[in-house]
Amino acid sequence: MDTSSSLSDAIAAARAGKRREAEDLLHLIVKHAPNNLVAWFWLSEVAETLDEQIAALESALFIAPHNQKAMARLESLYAQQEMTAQDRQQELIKTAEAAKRVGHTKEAHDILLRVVEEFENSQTAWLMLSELIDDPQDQIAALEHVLKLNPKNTRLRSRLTLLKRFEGDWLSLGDLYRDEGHMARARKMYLTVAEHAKNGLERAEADRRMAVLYRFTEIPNFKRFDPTFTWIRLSFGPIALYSLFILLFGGFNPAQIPTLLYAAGGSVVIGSVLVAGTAAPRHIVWKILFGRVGLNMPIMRRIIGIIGVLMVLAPYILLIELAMAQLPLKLF
Amino acid sequence: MFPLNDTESNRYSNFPFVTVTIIGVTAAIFLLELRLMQSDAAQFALLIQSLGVMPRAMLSPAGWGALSALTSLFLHGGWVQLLGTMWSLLIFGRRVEDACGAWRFSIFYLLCGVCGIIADGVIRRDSATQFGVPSLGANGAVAGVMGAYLILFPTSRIRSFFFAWFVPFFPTVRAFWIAGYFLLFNLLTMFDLFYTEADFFVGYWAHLGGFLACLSIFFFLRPEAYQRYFSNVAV
Repeated sequence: MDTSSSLSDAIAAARAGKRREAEDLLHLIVKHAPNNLVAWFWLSEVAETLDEQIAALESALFIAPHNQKAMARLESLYAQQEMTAQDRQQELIKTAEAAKRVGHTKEAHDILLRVVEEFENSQTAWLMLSELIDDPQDQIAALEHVLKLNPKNTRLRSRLTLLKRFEGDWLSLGDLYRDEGHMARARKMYLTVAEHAKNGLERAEADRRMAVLYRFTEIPNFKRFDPTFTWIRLSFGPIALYSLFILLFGGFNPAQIPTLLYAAGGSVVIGSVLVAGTAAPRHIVWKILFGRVGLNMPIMRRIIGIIGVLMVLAPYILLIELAMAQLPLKLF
Repeated sequence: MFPLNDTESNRYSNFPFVTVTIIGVTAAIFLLELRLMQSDAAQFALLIQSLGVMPRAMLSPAGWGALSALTSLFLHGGWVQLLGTMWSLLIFGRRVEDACGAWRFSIFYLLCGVCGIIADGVIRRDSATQFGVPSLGANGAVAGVMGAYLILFPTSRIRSFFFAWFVPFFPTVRAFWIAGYFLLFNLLTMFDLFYTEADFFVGYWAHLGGFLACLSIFFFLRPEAYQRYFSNVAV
């Protein structure tokens, strides 16, 4: 093959605007003479895509590494490539946003997956994806990715901390969302648990909480009461009952009631306040003590409940012991 | 007319653990009572006088009035009293427990029982003939549970049973008719006893005391049930 005449033909075709013809000829030339610098230059001019242009220039620079003109042009092509990628990414994200807005979450989810596959460092895409994914475990992975890209985002970090705190106990996270009034999120969480339930019991529990959520949302003008009111209201019972018992012990004469029983009343008060507090897990007091989740963590709630019950019951043991000492019949 | 069962289902829980436990424990204690009565009548009498409520003990600072207020709730004077109270508890307790939750329901039950005992003891404190007769049974507590049922589920349907010319009928009756009949019957009897100063062996005042104590049910309802009650929807 006569590369010099072919090169002249290719340059002539390129100058005449016959890009396709010129490109074919130049491809043939570089195939037979891969070190032909001029052919690579011209190929970078007539190649159809940006990637092909860049590849041709890179080949040219491989042959002549110090060629200033090639270097300058390659840099400008790189910039263009970067710009195009960003535009495409933006475009895809906008499409995903539009799909999400109109409720086509599945489509939005698929578009975002494509974005993160292509542009692994797209913060916006990862963030949107973390909001669209149902499975909290995948949400954690998405958020971790975003935080790797932008470690200073405190809002996301607190969201990730919250998710990690409930890892493995997603039903409680659903309860938290419900208590905070995010009914849709809570519903999604219960549905996810029901879908991925390991056994029938777990599924039944998720269904039960779905039913509770449904009851909350089905009632128009559903009256909500302040958690402090609920706390005080539920603390009343054990205190009232103990008061009656010690009154009975003293024959309705407060002066006859032993000081020990009055002191034990403190235990009943604290115990009943603790037990009642478990029914108001989102109260500000719990939030101050345990952070945003309040007392929504089942283990913590159980521990506090058990401590409360023991504190309520202990004074009764004392009361019964004192009363038995007075019995005419010695039972034991 | 005899109530048979509540036709409506639970909303919050599946099984009334506390109600069934109270019935089981009370029945077991009654069987022990019977056994002791047959084997040692003197010891049995002493036990009943100690653990049943004696107004004198209750109103004196002797101390054991408090214990007997608790123990007498689980002691019964006979099959009729045991079956009457426990059957009513089974029918009305299930859904009240469901609305309160197990822990709060137990306290509510005890509170109503103690209020019934106090009402009974205060009324009988000067009765000459009744001084030696201790009062036994969960009448006040069960009356409180019935009252709470009336507050929370007034229009629920209770399947009942009666005979008309030897033919059995099983109609469903609204709860307010049954609980209302119970309350009215007690009130009329009490007025009669009050004016005639007659002796009585049924704890009518305990019923009334328990019934009044049922107003405290609002301190025991689980948050959701409370919200539903004040949102004017079925608890």
